[in-house]
Amino acid sequence: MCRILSYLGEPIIAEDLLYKPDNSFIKQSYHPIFMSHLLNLAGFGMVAWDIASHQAKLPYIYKTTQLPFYDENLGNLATKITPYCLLAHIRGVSYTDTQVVSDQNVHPFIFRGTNLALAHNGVLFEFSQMKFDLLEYIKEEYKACIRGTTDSEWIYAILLSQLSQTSGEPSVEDLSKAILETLKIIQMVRRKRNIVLNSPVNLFITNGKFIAATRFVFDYGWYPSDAHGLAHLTYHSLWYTFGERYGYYDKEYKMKGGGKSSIIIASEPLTHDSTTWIEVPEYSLLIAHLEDKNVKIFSHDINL
Amino acid sequence: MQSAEFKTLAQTNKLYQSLDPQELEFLLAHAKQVLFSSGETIIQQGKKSAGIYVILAGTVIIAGQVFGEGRVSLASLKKGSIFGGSSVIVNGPNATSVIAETEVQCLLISTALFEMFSLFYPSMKYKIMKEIAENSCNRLITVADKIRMVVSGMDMKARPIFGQFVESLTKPAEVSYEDVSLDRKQLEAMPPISIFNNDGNALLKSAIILLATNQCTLIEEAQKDCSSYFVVKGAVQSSIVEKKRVAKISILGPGSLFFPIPLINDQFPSRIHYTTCERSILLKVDQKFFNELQHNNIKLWYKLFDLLCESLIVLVRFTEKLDIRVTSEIYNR
Repeated sequence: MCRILSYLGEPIIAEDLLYKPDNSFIKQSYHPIFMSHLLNLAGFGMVAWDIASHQAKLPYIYKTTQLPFYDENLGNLATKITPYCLLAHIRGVSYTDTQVVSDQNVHPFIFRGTNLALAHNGVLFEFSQMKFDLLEYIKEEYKACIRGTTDSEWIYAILLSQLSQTSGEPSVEDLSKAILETLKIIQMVRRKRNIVLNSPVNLFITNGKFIAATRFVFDYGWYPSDAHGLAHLTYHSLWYTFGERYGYYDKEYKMKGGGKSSIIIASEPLTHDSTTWIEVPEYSLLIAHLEDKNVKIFSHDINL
Repeated sequence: MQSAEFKTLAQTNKLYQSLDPQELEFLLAHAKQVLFSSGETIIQQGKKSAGIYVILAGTVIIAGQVFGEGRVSLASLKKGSIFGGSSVIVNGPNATSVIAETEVQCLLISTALFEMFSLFYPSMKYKIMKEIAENSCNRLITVADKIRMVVSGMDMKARPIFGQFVESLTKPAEVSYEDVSLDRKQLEAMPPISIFNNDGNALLKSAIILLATNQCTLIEEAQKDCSSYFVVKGAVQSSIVEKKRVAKISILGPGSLFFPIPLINDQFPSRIHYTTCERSILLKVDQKFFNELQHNNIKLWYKLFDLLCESLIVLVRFTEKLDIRVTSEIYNR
């Protein structure tokens, strides 16, 4: 189980999202409110689009397996960059020596030649049984790009393979179709392998122009008999808030009202006060994109 | 204010009229009288309430930070109204702020005192909970009706005809523990079913086990049957359905309890639709069981009512969020 943060809207100092709020993203690595059992200590990654940067259409990419709260470089960087779009991920894995903690497994994934990044919160139960069945749904050019050992990178490769173009900007409709198609492929392979246990797939996808996020679980509520204490039994949370601008107002971090030019979609609210956040319902796909400096939010129920 | 005057004022309140003299005496001895000046914030949105407030005199405004609109007034409450109860029952933050519009006198039943009622005066706690539950039902119906109006005017996708047809034909099947490989001991240990264990788990003796496929309707709007359900495996979706369009409220997973609104008070219409969204194993409990519990095992009924009340408040909160979502999102189009 991991934590993910995404932002789209008015340029914002990254520190205001990563460090400053009372339930800041970095704090969620060691003290998440909406998850139990596990800390998120297996890597921090971030892609961020900044209009003032060289080649502004491409994001900064920062990945490390260092603990983010001890990372001085990240702390310094966060006080300097002012992205209008950001996707950050902190990786949480079970405490066993079979886990591979490496740069290659740090999200968000963004293959060379594409401008589409994906981060995942969840796990595909019995992935090793199904991964080679998924190969036939991945285009040749992406097969060679898979460098890590996570199920998430495979999901990313399947998703890219469902899009007709990845360097350009897919429409909301194309993106929505590709995400649903990806979930259907996974479901089909699970059925083929008779895998029918709870597997959460909260995906965050962005290209700097939009953010798409799913709150979804395959076979929700069906747990293995020895399930007690496993991290992926709950329906992983997903929240959003929107407004004119995110910042410190009336002695707390929140969205300032009066407009709809910025949105944060995250695994959990960045503040202890969650009343100005909306919890995305389970089995949902949310897509936010900017249109004339206004955020438009599309949502669909996912019924595979 | 002199205590005799305070007592007289309190006794004019509807809730106190339902209390017996001993309960009233205990309440007035332990609850605090609190005064607020005009404009003072009594409860802050996002913070836990100090307890349950009953307005003895004056008017308060319910205000909230509304997305894209800043802070707005949502409603006003007058003498006799209760507020702050939802936060106490779910042990979570208040969804809105409460601000004194005039000078306000309240009776404050602190959270600790309210918890003490469970030990010494559970019937008094039940009466207060019932009042809060009925207020919540009223709120639920108001918000649900508002959503229905919005949905009916929206260009939203309707349920496919085939889906409606399948749903109308799909009924849950009664099964045994063995049929679905369900271990009774595991079930007894599962919250909230475990609260019935002291009495040999009367709930499990009375309940029937159902196996339901995906898209199986369990509770419909305007339904008379007041059976309740516990989710054992799988998941159930609560929705508002209007003109064949479905607006999803929330998903209930294993350990959840759901029931039609008239179970709280049969004067209220049922507004919420419940359908499985995975194949599911459920326990179905007939209303008769609850009625018998009220006569034969009142303590257990009180415990169960706590659960009903908590589930109801969570449902109201999700419905309020749906109200925001259907207007701020381009939903299911």
